[in-house]
Amino acid sequence: MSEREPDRLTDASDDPLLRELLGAGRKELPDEAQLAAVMAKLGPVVGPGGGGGSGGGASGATKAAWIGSAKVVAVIGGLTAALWGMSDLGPKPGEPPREVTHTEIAASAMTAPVVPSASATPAVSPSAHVRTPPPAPSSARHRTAADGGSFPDEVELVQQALDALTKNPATALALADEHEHRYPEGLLRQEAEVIAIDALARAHQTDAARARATKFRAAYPTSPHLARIETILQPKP
Amino acid sequence: MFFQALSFAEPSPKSPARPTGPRLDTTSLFREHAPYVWRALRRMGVRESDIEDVCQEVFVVVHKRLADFEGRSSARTWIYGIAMRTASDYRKRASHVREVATETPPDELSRDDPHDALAARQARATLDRLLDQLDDDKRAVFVLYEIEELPMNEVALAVGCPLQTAYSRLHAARSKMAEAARAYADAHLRRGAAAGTNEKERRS
Repeated sequence: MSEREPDRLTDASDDPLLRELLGAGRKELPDEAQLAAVMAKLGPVVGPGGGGGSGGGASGATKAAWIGSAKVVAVIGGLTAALWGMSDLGPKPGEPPREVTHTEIAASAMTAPVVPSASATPAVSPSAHVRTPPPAPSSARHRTAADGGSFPDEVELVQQALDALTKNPATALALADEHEHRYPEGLLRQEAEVIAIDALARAHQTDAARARATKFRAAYPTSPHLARIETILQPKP
Repeated sequence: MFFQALSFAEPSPKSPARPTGPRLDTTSLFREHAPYVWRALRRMGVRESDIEDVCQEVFVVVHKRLADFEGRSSARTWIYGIAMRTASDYRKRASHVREVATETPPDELSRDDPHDALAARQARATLDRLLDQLDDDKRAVFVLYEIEELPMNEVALAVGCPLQTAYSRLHAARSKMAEAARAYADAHLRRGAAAGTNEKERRS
């Protein structure tokens, strides 16, 4: 059987409508929140390690790659909401963040847990902490934590940074910087960078926060987090 | 490149082969293939409201059968095969009525460029309506070849038919799609002409 494969219709069809429709069909790929929602549902089935099957023929490639089912979704939703400028709608300090459904994430950030906006005790060392945000991902494949570990690990690290933000900005900043080091092409780079800017602002390192924000704007001119950054940088009464 | 198959013959450099073959785990397979499985499921007629659940079903099956995966095809082909069967089962369930694509796009649009997003959604809705003209066997071959861009030998493996049968299904599916696209275009032209006539009458 040596039949030559026909050219694909997106290239070869003489019908422009069909070419256009097929091209559009190829372009539909899920976003990270949609994949995270599926991943969260799979978590309890797959279990820690993400290994394969009851026969045990394939073991997990990452340690603790899967975290609790809804947690990934909740964290992404929470981070997205927290950093989209909804700072007055969140839980009180010490209150555990509630879990967020994918539907809520996709619909809006209005109901998800957020970063409390109250200022905290400055605890950041006086070093500059001005870094250039990592470049935007070149493709969907690079949106996951390819080098520094699994995506759930990345989510957990950013969640830790977010949790530390109100009580210990220095720790939050250190964790955000660790994220940049471990996940230079991570999915949550923008979120980690906003946490870093917020941590600097809370520590009254305004110049460093502004410098970092300037670089963020240059790197992500259409980021949905820009409004949040403006709020962070506004002088507090 | 995504379509770099995780095959037993060509293990990834990051997952060196053991004597029994390279390690495949569900997490890695999900990361590598889930976006494309998602797309294929949508083109196979899985409704937007059901896509997360059906995609999950696919990877639950992958997880359960992974230990038995023999590597006679690439992991990609194997997973696509599971996806096609899952989509077919989905469409056969009595509780699921086939999604009727409409020309009215859903409200949820991209933040990037609403006009482009609208046009893209309309195009996909139209494509899905044309694909609905195909039976499941032809649709699977057409989707895997024309949209997922698998080579025909992998398409045949994924759908579980002889290669020549896959070619026959592709040929038939192409004819049907071309016919459906022409009918769709003609209907739009007629509708446009009728709208123009009505507008003239209204003005006069």
